[in-house]
Amino acid sequence: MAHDSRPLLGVQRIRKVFGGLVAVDNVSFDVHPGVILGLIGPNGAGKTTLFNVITGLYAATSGAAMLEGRPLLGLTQDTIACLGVARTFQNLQIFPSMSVLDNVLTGSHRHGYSGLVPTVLRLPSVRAEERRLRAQAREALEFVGLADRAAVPAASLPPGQQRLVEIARALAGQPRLLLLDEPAAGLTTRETEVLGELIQRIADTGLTTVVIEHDMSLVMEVCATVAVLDQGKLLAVDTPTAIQANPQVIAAYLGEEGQA
Amino acid sequence: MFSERKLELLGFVVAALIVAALPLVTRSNYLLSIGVFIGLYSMVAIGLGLLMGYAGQVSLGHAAFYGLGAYGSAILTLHYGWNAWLAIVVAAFATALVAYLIGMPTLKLHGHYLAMATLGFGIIVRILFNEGGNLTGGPSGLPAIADLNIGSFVFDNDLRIYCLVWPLVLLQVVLSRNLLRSRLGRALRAIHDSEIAARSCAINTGRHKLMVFVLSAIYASVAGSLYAHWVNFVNPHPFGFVFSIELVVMVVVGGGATLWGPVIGAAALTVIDQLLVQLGHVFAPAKDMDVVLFGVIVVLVLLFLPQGLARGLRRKGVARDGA
Ligand SMILES: Nc1ncnc2c1ncn2[C@@H]1O[C@H](COP(=O)(O)OP(=O)(O)O)[C@@H](O)[C@H]1O
Ligand SMILES: [Mg+2]
Repeated sequence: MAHDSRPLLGVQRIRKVFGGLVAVDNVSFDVHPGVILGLIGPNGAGKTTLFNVITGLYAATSGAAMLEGRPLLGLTQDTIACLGVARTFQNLQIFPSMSVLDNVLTGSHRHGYSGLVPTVLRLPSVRAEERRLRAQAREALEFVGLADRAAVPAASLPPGQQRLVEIARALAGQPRLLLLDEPAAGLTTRETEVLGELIQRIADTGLTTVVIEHDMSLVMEVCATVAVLDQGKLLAVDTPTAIQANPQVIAAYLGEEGQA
Repeated sequence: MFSERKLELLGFVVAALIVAALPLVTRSNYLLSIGVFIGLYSMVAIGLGLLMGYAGQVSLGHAAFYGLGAYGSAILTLHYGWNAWLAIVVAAFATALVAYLIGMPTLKLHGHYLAMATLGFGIIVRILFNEGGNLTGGPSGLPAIADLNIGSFVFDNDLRIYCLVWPLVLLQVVLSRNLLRSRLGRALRAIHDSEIAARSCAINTGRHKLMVFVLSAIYASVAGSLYAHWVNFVNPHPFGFVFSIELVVMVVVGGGATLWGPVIGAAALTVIDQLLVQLGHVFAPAKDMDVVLFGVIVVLVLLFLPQGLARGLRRKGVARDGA
């Protein structure tokens, strides 16, 4: 697991305390460029909280997160997103009043520059920008296989496809780092298979990705590296096979859920 | 079935025809002046609609921005002898600056701090108009504000002002449409739908809300300036809290998150208000019924057409098409 490259994301002793509850406890790991890392752990382990800290939704109690050596913590959510950190949410957060295409277009917000006055006058520069963003969004929609649903209201799609809208929205920003929070939650077996294949294709594009997932077979299939959280603590970071054989990990999973 | 785009165009053409028809069917100054009032209120309500319907914020002080435009124009032309058009533009910039200063600290916070700040601001501005001495003319106001003119063409009657105000309203609708069909407009709708997700899409929610708030203040200021040059007179009375609330009611009744909702709301409230005034001539208590009636209307709209008249009527139309 030796990497010569500088990590794209460095999580450094991040700690997050809610009142008396330590949700994330001194967690450190690196994600190297092009790597897809699976983040697993029982419910309440602190996985989502870690994403929320990295993306600026929560302020960390202590610790640091570095994107290509640049500190993220303390920046606002939108600034962190603007630097190229895209995410999806465990509880779906699509824009229900908007079409599928508009949802995805919103994801490319950071690639537009037009101000209010040119926009309301719809100057040629604004039209050109709009065409460019639309091309980007269509590409992302095609990538997730929703090109034919572009004009449909996003809220009218089944939950499985709404997940894909969220992923397309994240991809449309052409991020440097993608954080997926339980993308398979609530999906059917068939949908989960399609999702696994999609994540594989995302990995093939070389996009650095962290995916939180409960579905072990999915994680083992697509992730080169797996990090395990339990009660806020990092138990192990290793290859999928080594993780599956790790007694601490097995204990954590058997203790909490009785499954591996 | 109409496409979204054709429906939009159709709506615009119908509105333009209605606007053009009024002066053709009547030369009554009373009716034309009601038309002008609806136009001026629409100008304010369109901006407020963007703020309420997309940025998800309420202003309880838009009458004050309208008043700043009116008094700004009056003061700059009367006391300083400025050209009226220049005064309108400068008053709008000054009002924008004031809105920026109110919005900047409040819109960064979550919650309805803007509503409270604008409420206080509206009260203060009203007091300033009242206590402004020679500058504002105190409670009796400033008379003899000049008419607007382009060369030798003077906007000195209701018909001419009508023909100035309504093209501006239609222009505002086009500008709003351009905004909403753009990256910035999507950002606003995103903020309205889910602030957390909007921020995860690199949208600075506070800045976008501020942008809309300032734009809405500019619209209100320009409308106020036109009002002052139309009636040639300002006093503090029309720019108080009640008018701020009426503006909010117009947006709620018409529907903020629609292109035409604020215009429809402005028309509905103005017409109802006038009907009550007329009724008041024969049945005195009717005159004071407006506040009660507006309250009842808001409750009914919120119960039965929560997205406002414009969207509610359209939904019914679409349902009929589908059947
Ligand atoms: N906003 C919050 N306030 C208080 N406690 C929270 C908050 N968010 C998460 N927690 C707590 O932190 C712990 C970790 O939660 P979470 O990160 O959602 O776990 P996971 O995503 O691994 O299932 C849980 O005990 C949860 O109740
Ligand atoms: Mg979670």
